[in-house]
Amino acid sequence: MRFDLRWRAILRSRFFVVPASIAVVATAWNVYVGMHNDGVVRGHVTDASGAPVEGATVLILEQTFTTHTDRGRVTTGPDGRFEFRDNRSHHLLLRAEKAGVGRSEQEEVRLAFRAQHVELPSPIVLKSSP
Amino acid sequence: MTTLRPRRSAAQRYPHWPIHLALLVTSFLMLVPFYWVLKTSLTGENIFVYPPSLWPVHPHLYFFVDVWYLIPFPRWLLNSVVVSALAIAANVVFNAMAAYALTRHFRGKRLVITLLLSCMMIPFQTTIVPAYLITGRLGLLNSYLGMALPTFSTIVCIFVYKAAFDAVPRSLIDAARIDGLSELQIIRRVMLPLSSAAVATNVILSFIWSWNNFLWPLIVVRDASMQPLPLGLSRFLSDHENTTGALYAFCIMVLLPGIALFLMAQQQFIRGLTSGATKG
Amino acid sequence: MGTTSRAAVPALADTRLRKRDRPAGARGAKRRRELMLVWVFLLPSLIVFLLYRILPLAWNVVLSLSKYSLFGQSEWIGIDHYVDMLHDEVFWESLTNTLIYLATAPFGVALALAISLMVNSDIRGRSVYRTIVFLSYPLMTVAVGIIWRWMYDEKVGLFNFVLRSLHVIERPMPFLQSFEMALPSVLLASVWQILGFYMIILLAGLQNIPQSLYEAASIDGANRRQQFMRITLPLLRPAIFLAFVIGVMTSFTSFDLVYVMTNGGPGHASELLVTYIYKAAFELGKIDYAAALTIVQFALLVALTWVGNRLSGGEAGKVETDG
Repeated sequence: MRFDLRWRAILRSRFFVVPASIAVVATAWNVYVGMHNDGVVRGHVTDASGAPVEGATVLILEQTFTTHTDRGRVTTGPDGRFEFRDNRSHHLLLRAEKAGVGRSEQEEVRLAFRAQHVELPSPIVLKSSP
Repeated sequence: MTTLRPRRSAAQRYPHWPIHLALLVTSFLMLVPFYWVLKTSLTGENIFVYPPSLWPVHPHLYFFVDVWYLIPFPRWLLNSVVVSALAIAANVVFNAMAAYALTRHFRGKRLVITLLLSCMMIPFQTTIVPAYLITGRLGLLNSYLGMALPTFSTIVCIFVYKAAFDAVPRSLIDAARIDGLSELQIIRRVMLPLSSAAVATNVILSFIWSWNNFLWPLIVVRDASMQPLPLGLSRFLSDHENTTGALYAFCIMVLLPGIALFLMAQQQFIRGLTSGATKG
Repeated sequence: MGTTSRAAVPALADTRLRKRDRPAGARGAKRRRELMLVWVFLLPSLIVFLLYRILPLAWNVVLSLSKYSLFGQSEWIGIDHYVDMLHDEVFWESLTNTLIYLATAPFGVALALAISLMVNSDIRGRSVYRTIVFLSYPLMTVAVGIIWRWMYDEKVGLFNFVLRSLHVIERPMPFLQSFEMALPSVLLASVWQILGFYMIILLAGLQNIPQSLYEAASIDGANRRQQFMRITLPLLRPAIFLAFVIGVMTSFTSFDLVYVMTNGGPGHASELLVTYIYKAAFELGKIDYAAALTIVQFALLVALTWVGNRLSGGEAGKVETDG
């Protein structure tokens, strides 16, 4: 009975509760990451007036502290939407262009973990080149 | 008939608000660096822009993500954890054993205690050159053991244990010996459980010292992959200087375990520092 | 207690007499076993201290008097290194800087004393204040150095921003890059970090002063100032001495902060003895010269501590060695 009380005291002490909570949170986070790291990046491209642009090329760059690395291109479909499947980074730069319509600013995409599944909420807007 | 004086005489009753004011100002000044680094790690807007804004503007956690992926932070974290674990384990075992020996009376005890106290006067920084040569001769350069070895025992903690062990009633020890326990078992089953405060103090002190240790790993470590966090932080600083908020995110990530542990075990930490202090 | 000891003494005397007649009696063997056990238990810690405190100290002396060579034999050259040291400008500069560092310790202790007195009074929430002031001590000094370096930044730092907003200065001040301001800037960061430690020691000393002394004094008519000068300060002497010793130690060991904030620069304006020792040994490769520097530093440390001990009455640091 004495040992039972001691175990309960240990379990309730902050030296157990705090590390245990940290371990629980860390595990839950890793589970979440494992379920959402398919590397898919989805978005859509519009022109200055807001109409979807078909056939625009979206350039995807991976960013570190000092370098940009080209990771590939995708083309938008008929509804202006594009999907990039092979993202392995947590920090991307996207740039879209279409001959005759214009090119966009560099859109920065920062993720909470590598290859996070992300659907970009706002469109990449093509501005006409002067 | 004189009236009974109130417990606090007029000379001792004093207004509290100036003290509160002074302490509030002091606390504010002490906390400003924390706030400033937290703000920069969350926004990074001040890196190239002047004047800085006093409040976080568009805070985000992405600098922390950068730190985790773009530099070998997980590896450095592992190095720090391993070295600290080694130091803590060795500290508890060696210090408890030495303190237990010091609770007995034996010839030369006074000499040993004087020796230990005089070793406290030798700061680590005056030993770095030969310590490096010794570690090299032992073949422990660039290894976890080499990084942890000088911190395997601390004199302050020995005396903390000794004070705690001295308070254990002699009858308990005698009873345990009659029960047939060996001396090591006595330490493990009788002394340590009764001195849990001293153990907590030892764990906290040795963790903080080994986690924050910078000079010794700087001397001993050659490979970038064996660096513990302080070295990694310094390396990051020299690589990237002030060009990214991730440096400050790195600082925050490195400070959090120390702060968390300190807040959890403040009493033990303070007692360890002052009892070591009062012992000379 | 008295009767038992009186009864025990003749018994002990008896056995002692008889022990000489008994060859290696049970008591003798037990005592030997106990002695061996004690030394075995002391051994791991003693080995660590021998390897990393005592042996290095001795080896430093040897190294400082010889010419160290990695490959061949080290040769004995006597006090040549010490003579070189006298002509070494960097040595004198780092020594001066270390002494300046030391000279600011009393101000830190005085400030901590003021804070401790306030925290020790019976105001509400004093443990919160104590925690906040002490929070800076357990931090990684490298991180503290980086934080302060950032605050001192010339273009975008906090201090320049505050000073310029208050119109104290008109143009940005290069704190860590200027010859005059580099060392004081590092000193300020160091005081920020060590203040909590001083406060803890002084608080422990303050709490050891019995309240009854103050009550008796106030009944006798002493005002608060007299109570402070006649009761608090004298009884706090050991604690103040200890804080001072720690301040001295800090000025001799404050490597991390200087390395990260200025690396001794600009030039050698913020070079301390300890950073010069590191550079001499591990960047310039002059291990023997670094050992000589270390010996000088250690001698200085011992001398200063001894002086402080004498100044504070010689009582501090006394320890029961038979307890």
